[in-house]
Amino acid sequence: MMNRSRTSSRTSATFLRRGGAACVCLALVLPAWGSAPAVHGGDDVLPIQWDRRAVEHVWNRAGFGIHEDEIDRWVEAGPEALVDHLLAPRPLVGPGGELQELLPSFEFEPTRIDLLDYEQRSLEQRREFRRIAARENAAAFQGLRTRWIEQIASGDDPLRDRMCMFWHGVFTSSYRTVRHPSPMIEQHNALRAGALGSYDALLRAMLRDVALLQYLDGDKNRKGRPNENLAREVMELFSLGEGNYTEADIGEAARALTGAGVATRFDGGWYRFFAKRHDAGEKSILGVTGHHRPDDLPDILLAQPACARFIASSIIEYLEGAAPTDERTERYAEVLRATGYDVGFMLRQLLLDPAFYRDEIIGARITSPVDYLMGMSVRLGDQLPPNFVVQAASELGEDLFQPPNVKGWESGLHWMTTARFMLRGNIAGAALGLISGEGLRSDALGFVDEMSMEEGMEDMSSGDAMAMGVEQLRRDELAQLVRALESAKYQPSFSFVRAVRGDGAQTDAEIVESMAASLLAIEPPVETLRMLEGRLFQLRRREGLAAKRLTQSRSLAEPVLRELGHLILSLPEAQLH
Amino acid sequence: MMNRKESNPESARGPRRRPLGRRRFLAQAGVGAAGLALGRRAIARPALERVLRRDGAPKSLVLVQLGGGNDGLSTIVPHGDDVLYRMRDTTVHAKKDLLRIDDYRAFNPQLKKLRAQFDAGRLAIIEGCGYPEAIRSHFKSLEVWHTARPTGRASGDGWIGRLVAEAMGEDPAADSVVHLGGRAPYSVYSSEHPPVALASPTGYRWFGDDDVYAMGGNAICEHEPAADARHIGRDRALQALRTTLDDATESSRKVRHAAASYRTGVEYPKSRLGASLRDVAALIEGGVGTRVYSVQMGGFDTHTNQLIAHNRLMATVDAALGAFFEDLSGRESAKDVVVAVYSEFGRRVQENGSKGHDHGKAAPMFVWGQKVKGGLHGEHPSMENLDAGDVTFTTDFRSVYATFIDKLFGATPGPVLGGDYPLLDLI
Repeated sequence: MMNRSRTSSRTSATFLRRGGAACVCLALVLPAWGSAPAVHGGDDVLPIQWDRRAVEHVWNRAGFGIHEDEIDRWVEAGPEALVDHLLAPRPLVGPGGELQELLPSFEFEPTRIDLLDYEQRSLEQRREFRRIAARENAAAFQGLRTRWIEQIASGDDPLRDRMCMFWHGVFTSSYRTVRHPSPMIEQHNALRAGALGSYDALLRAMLRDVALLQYLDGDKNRKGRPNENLAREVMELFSLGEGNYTEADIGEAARALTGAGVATRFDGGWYRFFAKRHDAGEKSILGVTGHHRPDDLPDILLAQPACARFIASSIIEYLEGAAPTDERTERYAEVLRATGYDVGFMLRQLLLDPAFYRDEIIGARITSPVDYLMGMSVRLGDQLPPNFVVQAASELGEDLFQPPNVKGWESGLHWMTTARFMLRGNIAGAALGLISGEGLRSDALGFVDEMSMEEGMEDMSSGDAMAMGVEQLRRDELAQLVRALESAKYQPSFSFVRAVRGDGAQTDAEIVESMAASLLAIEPPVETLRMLEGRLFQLRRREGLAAKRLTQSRSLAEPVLRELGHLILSLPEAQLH
Repeated sequence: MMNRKESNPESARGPRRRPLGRRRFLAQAGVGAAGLALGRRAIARPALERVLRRDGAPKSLVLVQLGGGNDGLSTIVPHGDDVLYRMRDTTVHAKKDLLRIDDYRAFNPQLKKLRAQFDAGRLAIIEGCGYPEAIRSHFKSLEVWHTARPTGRASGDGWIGRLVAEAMGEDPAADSVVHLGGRAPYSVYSSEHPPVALASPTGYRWFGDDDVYAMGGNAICEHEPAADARHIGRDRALQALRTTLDDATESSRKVRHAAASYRTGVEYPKSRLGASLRDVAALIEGGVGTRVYSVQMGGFDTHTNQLIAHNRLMATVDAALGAFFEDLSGRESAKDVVVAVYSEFGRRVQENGSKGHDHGKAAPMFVWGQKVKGGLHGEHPSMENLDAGDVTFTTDFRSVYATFIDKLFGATPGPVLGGDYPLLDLI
C-alpha cells in the first residue's frame, strides 16, 4: 500500500500545505484559538494569573531563567507577547544587511587525507596522522559542547535551545559509541533547526541520521540478519511509547529498516540506502501490510493515535515536570495531529494554557545540571566560562552528547545524589569566587588536622596529615573545576551590595528578601527567609558590622553577602525552578 | 539510619527532629562562634558514635575494574603450554622468572603479593571467564560486564543497580553503593537509586560551615513552616530535597570521618588505585554501611610493546591490591568483604606486529576474601581450540556475579542477571 518510489524527505512546501490544511481543521475543533486559546477547556478554567511568578515560571521552563530586572517588562507585556517573543523566528538579516542562516550551525572540517597517499606512508607517519586526527576530533567535540552552552548563554533563542535539549534526550546518541564529531555535530544541527518545527520532519530526519544509525546499530541491520535495536527504540522511545506495539511489530519494523546504513570513511559518514542489504519482502507493521522500506516506517508510526499522545505527553512532562492527565494529553495530541505535528504550535497552546501555571507545577521542577548552572549564570548576570559549564554539568551527571544510555538522562530527583547535591553548592561557591584552589588546599589540610585533634590521633604526624590532604585534593573533582575557572581567568563581576542597595533594602529581612529574589528561580518559603536572616545576623556579628553599615561599605559588605549568596545557591530552594 | 521513612506522606512539612523555634535559633545564632561550635558537637556526636560502633559489619563487595582489556595469559601464565611460546615471542616472560603455581600455570613475576594471598588460601583464581558471542569492542564488552546482558546499556540499569533494587528494599541508604575515584562505571548505574561517586572522601562535603548548610535540610521546618496552597508543588519538591540534604550531611560526616580517622600499619602505594583502595578500607573499618564499593584502573589496552607496559601495570596492581588485601586480612570489620577483579576481555593469543596483543575474549578473574575458598576454580581454556585466535570462555562471568548475589546479598540472582547461571563453590 505504500508508494515505494516516493522519496522520503518531504519538501517544506508539503509541510506548509499540510499545516495550512491543519489550521482549518483546528479552527473547526477550536473556534477561538487565536487570542483566547480555547484548547484550554471550557468556562470553568480560570485565566492565567499573570504576575512576576508566572513570568519567571515561563522563563525557567521555556528558557534557562531570567534576570530579576527583566521580569517586570514581561509582566507588563502580557503572556501573548512573551510567547510570541519566544516563538518568533530569529532575524534572517545580519547587521550588515546580509542574509543570514536561521541558525548559526556548528561546523567541523576535519583534515582530509588522500587514501592512496596514506597507503604510501610509513607506520610512523600513519600513527602521527592518527594522533593529529584524534586531537582534532577531541577539539571538535569539545567545541560542539562549549558552543552550545555559549548559544544558550547568549539568550538569543531560548525556547529553541530548551527544546533542543529535550530532543537531545529523546533522539539521543552518544559520542562514546559514535566516536567521530561530525555525525554528532550534524545531529545536533538537525535537532536544533527542527526543535520548534514539525516532529514529523524530525522523526524522518532522525531515521536517516548517521549518529543515530550508528548508535543504535541501524547500520548493522541487514536482510536475513536483522538487528532490532533501532526498530525497538524508534517505537519505544521515539514515537509510540511502551505498550503500543508488539514484539512482532518490532521484528517487522526491523526488516523494513534493513538497508538504511552509513557509508563511512576516515572523516565521518553519510546516510545511504543499501538496496542489497534491504529485505524487500512483505511486512506487516502495526496492521499495515506492504513492501515497506525504511522511509515508509515514519508514515506508519505517525498515523498511530499513540504517536501524538506519546509526543504530547513527553513534551508536557518535560516542561511541566510532571506527567499530564490522560484527558489533557489527548487534547494536545489532537493539536499535534491536526497540525501535522507542529511542535511550535503546540508549545504556543501549552504556554498559554492556565494549567501550565497551576500551583502543583510552579517552582516544583528539579533543575538539571545545565538548568542549574545556566540559571545561576543568568540570574547573576555573569557569564561562566562555557567549558567550565560543560565540565561542571558533566561532573553533576549531565555529560552533554554522552548520555548514560539510550533512554537519555533520568531527570528529577535522580540528578540529586548526596555527592552531587553538595557539589552543586560547591560549584556555586567557586562561581562566587569563594572557593579557590588555595582555599581548597588549606581546607583539606585543616580537616585532616581537625580530625586528628578531635580523635586524639597524636600518632599522625603533621607531615602525614599534609601528604594525605594533598593526595586527596589531587583526585578531587571540585579542585579540577576550580582549576578550569582559574585558567579561564574567571572573575565574578557582579556586586551584591549594589543590587541590594538598588532594592533599597536596609534591614536583615529586607536584604535577605532581596538576595533570595535575585538568586532563586522560585519564591522561597518563609522558613527559609527566616533561616537566612539568622545567618546574615551571624555573619554581621562575626564581622562586627551593624545592619546599616552593610549597605554602606561595599568592601566590608560584599564578602558577607557573597557568603550568604553561597548558602542560598546551595539550598534545596536553589535546585528548583 | 536515613530519615526518608519518617518524612513520608502524612506530615507535609517533614519531620521535626530537633524542635528549635525561630526565636531560639536567632538567639543561638546570637551567641556567635561559641554557639556554633556547640552546635557542631551536638550534631556530630550521634554520627560519630555510629561510626565507632563496629558490630554487625555488613557483607560487602568490592569491584575492581581493570579497564582496557587485561592480558589474562600474561597475568596467570600457562607456562606449561608450548602453544604460548610458539605464538608469543617478545611478550612472554622467561620461565625462571614466573611465580609457579603448578606444572601448567604461574603468576606473572610482578604479582608477588597476590601470590602470597593465593598461598594463604584467600585468593581464588577463576579461569577463563567470559561470555558467549564475545564482543571485542571495549565499550560494548564493558556494557556486557556492567549489565550482565548481551544488549548492554540498552537493557537498562547496571547489574549493581538492579541488585540494589532487588536486595536492599524500598529505601536503601544513600551510600549503599559507593564508587571511589572519578567516574563511576555503568555497573553501578541505577535509574532508581543512583550511587554515590566520590573523587575523594575529603571532597565529599559542602565547602562552607557544615552546620549552617545542615540548617537547609528538614531542620528548617522548625522555624515557621509555610502552609500556602499556592506553593503546594514547590513544598512537595522541597521536602524531598531537604531529606536528600539531610542524607548528604550525615553521609558526608560519616565518610570523611572514616577516611580521616583511618589508621593502618599497612603502607599503600602512591598510585590512584592504591589511594582509592585505602579509602575503601577506611569506609569498611569506619562502619559506613556501604554494601558495594567500586574502584577502577585503566591503561590495560596494550597493543604495542606489551611486555614493559604490562609489567608496570601488574606491579601497580600487585602493590595496590596487595596492600589492600594485607590490610583487610587482619580486620574483623572485613571478615565478610569480598573483592572481585575483572577486565572487559583478555587479549589475542598471537602477538601482533607491534610487540603487543589485540583485543581478545576470555581471561581469569580474581576473587579475594577472608572466607573465600582460595585456589583454582573453573577450567583453563584450551590453547589449541581457539575462537578466531582467542581462548574461549569456560566459566560465564555471570556465574561469579550470581554467587555474590546469592552468598553476599541473599537475593535471587535470576532477576538481577536476567537469566540463571550455576553458582560456584567460592564463598
